[in-house]
Amino acid sequence: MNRCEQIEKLLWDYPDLKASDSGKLLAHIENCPRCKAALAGIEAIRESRKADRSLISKIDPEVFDNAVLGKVRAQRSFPESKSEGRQFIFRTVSSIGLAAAIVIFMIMSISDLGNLPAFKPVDRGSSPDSGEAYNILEIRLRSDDLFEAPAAYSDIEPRKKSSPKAPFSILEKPITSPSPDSVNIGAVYLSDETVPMMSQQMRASISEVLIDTGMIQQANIPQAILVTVEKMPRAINIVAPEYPAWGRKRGLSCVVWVKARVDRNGMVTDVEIISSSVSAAGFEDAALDAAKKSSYLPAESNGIRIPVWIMYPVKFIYSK
Amino acid sequence: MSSAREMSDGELVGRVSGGDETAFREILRRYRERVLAICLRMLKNRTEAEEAAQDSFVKAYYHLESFDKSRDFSAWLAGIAINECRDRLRKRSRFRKLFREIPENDLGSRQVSQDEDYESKVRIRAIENAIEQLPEKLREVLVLRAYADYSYEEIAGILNIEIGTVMSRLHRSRAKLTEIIKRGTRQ
Repeated sequence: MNRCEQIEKLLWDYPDLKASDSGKLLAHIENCPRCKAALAGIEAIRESRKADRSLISKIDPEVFDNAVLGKVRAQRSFPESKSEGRQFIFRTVSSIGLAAAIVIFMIMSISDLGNLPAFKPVDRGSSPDSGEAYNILEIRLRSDDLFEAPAAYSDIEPRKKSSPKAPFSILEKPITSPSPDSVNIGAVYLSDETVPMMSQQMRASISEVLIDTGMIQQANIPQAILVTVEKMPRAINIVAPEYPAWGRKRGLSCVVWVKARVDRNGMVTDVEIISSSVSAAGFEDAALDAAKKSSYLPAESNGIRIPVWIMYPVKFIYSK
Repeated sequence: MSSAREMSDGELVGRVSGGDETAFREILRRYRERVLAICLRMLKNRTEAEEAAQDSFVKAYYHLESFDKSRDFSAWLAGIAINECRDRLRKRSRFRKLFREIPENDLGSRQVSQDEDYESKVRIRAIENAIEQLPEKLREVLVLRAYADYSYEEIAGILNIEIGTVMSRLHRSRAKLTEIIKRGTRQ
């Protein structure tokens, strides 16, 4: 090992050597391009490492730990998901299905293009949003067999006949408050009864996805982008709202539709009321407050967490 | 909590196997940063790194029975994290073949504070790009040594290779980096 190699090894293995070394070593480094480059590399790595650490320090440890524990609990309650073999088969089958859907989608898009050089949006037929600017982008949420494509998209994928009204649900069972008056969150879902809402939700999700992935700068609009949500958010803790005192006093029942944005950490960052059957009786506020306190495992697309909007009805049923 | 803090890794693992959540939280506290450092430098994407680090801990939890207590727990955990990153990189390269130019690198556009000098920013960018250009085997060794502070022996255990191989890979990765930096300063 020659002198330069020895110095280089020393520099790499003892990065703080520079502070305490002799003038001779410094003089050599100053005059030797090889050792100089090695030292520059070490210093750059140190800076890059410092920058990484500062990025890591921005990650909230509590959120991180809770997400890990949430995932552990989610797997624990579904022991069959521990089977690697089954997971592999499921992933393979779903990948093939996804690939087939993409191919069909691309073929249909190309066949619609004709001789035009630019992108031509897919004809939405009776969709309430047809002809609007958002036609240039398309997002479709898919999940298990429970998911059913809304009517406006039936030209892309045929409906599943086995579950004509089954919604997509991220709840195993309805959540009911412990109070004597029943407050019931039936299911968190997207259903074909809500096509206009679905369109709103899609539009919101498109902009979210584009903004949050930084694709908004890169996206070559107009261009068709198919974003597939492989895993919808899974409920960790859904908080049932309090029955509003005024509503109880008056003996009122109400159904409030809530729309919530679940971010990449599974936290609810935005909530909106879509509709409420009774207004000004405190039902909306109760539903909003509870929605903000709920938490989920975030949605995923290609293994990357993405923010999505979900919606659900909160049924306040006066029992006396 | 204070008692969990005083426990050795082996004791904590035993407790976690018995269903003790506090012990698992202590493991998270001890190794969160190290695992994140590996995932962040390997994947170059904060969100994905966070996700990979979380999944590494979940996998560790479910494979604790297979952990040999005579081994170093932190090295075993780092091995899981490295495998997780390899899987994700493979998945990413498959995905890239399908969809071109999906920007996945959010460290490339790292926010640099106003007082941080421009030269330092350029140097960091250059070294990170140089590390990215390294073959996977060389990059893994370099990341474990320079970003996660593992010793040669620990790296050998993590990657299941000889110490001599660790040293030679490290030497090759450093030589390549030096070469890239020299080329950069000449230009």
